[in-house]
Amino acid sequence: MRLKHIFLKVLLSAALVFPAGIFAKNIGKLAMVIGKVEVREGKGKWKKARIGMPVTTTMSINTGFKSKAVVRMSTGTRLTLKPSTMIKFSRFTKGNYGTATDVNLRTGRMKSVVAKLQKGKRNYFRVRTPTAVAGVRGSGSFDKVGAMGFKRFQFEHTADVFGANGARTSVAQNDTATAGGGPDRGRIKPPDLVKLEDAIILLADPSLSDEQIDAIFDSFDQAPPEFGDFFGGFGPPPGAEIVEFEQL
Amino acid sequence: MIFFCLVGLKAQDSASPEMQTYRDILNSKKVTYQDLADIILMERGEFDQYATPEARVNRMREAGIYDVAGQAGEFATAGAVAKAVMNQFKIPRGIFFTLTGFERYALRDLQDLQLILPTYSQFSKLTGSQLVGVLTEADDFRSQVKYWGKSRLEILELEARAEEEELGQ
Repeated sequence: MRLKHIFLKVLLSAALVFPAGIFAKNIGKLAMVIGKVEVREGKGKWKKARIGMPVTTTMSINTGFKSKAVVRMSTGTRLTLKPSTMIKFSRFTKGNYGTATDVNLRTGRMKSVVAKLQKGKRNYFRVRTPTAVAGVRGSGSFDKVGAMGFKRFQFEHTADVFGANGARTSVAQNDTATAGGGPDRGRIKPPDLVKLEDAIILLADPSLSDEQIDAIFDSFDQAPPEFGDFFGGFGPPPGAEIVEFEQL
Repeated sequence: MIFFCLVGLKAQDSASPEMQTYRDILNSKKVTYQDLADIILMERGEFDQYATPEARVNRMREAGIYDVAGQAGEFATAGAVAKAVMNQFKIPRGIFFTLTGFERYALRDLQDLQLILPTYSQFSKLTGSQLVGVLTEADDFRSQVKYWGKSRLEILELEARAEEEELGQ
């Protein structure tokens, strides 16, 4: 009986210190914290971040002005959060395909260097913002959500960006793609100086929902090794129009 | 005893007033001049030095950023935000803003530099996300000026080197 009371007291104390995060899965840690950085588990209370603090699948991270944070994930991926940034991890799964991570970029700037895995497996990394969804496969990119909307600068390999209206663009190496706010909300502007073979815009049905976009990324679970094969096998939905850009 | 120790530890780790204010501004539907003063002082690193909202508004005026003139509770206009951002980030001014100091020309200068949406008029109201977004773009602009004229690869190398120095690697 006495042991039971002690056990209950310890459990209550642990619940007070870790109210929402006790069952969340660890996916990495905060490798660097500079300035004012705060974290939150799920919908719990915000608290001060510390170096070495574990990062979980439901964690939100908020950096203040003149502050930075670096997250090193167990997959080897490194995320650098610039000042005035807020992100939330929303999904992390592992399988025979490798891993799949979803990050919501609410505001600010984030640089992601996604680690490569062994042949046949990949680290699928998706960044979701208020105006676009961007997928990254084993490469590096710089994402920004600012007054002009979402902007991605791809500095290694290629990536795909889906606009809010379903428009999708492939961002070639060292190029940018923008999904703007205001009247251009969700519309992808073509990257400058992109060669024909690197830029294929697929204007999907404008009613393509978040769930349908999710299904596209979820199908990476069974994706063949090369994205080109996946893209070719998927095909445009009915009524869609393939638009190709001329070399500028 | 353990309970009280843990409660003490938990209080030490709780959110700071500055970050809580930042998040409140981020989630607001329309920002006020008080929000503008708060966020400008956060950007300057002076938020903690001024305990009251009135003190922060006065500080913004003293620093020459923007004079709220007794309307701290009113919704801030895009023109006012543009003028405050131009003054805070020392963004190069166009000829009309230099000559007149009018908010409409400050907004036009920011729009020309693509730091704010071209659809705003001088009297448009901004959401918290949009206000934070403008500051993000302006901060980016300020930090990128030194990279003008360099190739993207050079910029990446310079940024990587700066980051490594900052992280002490």
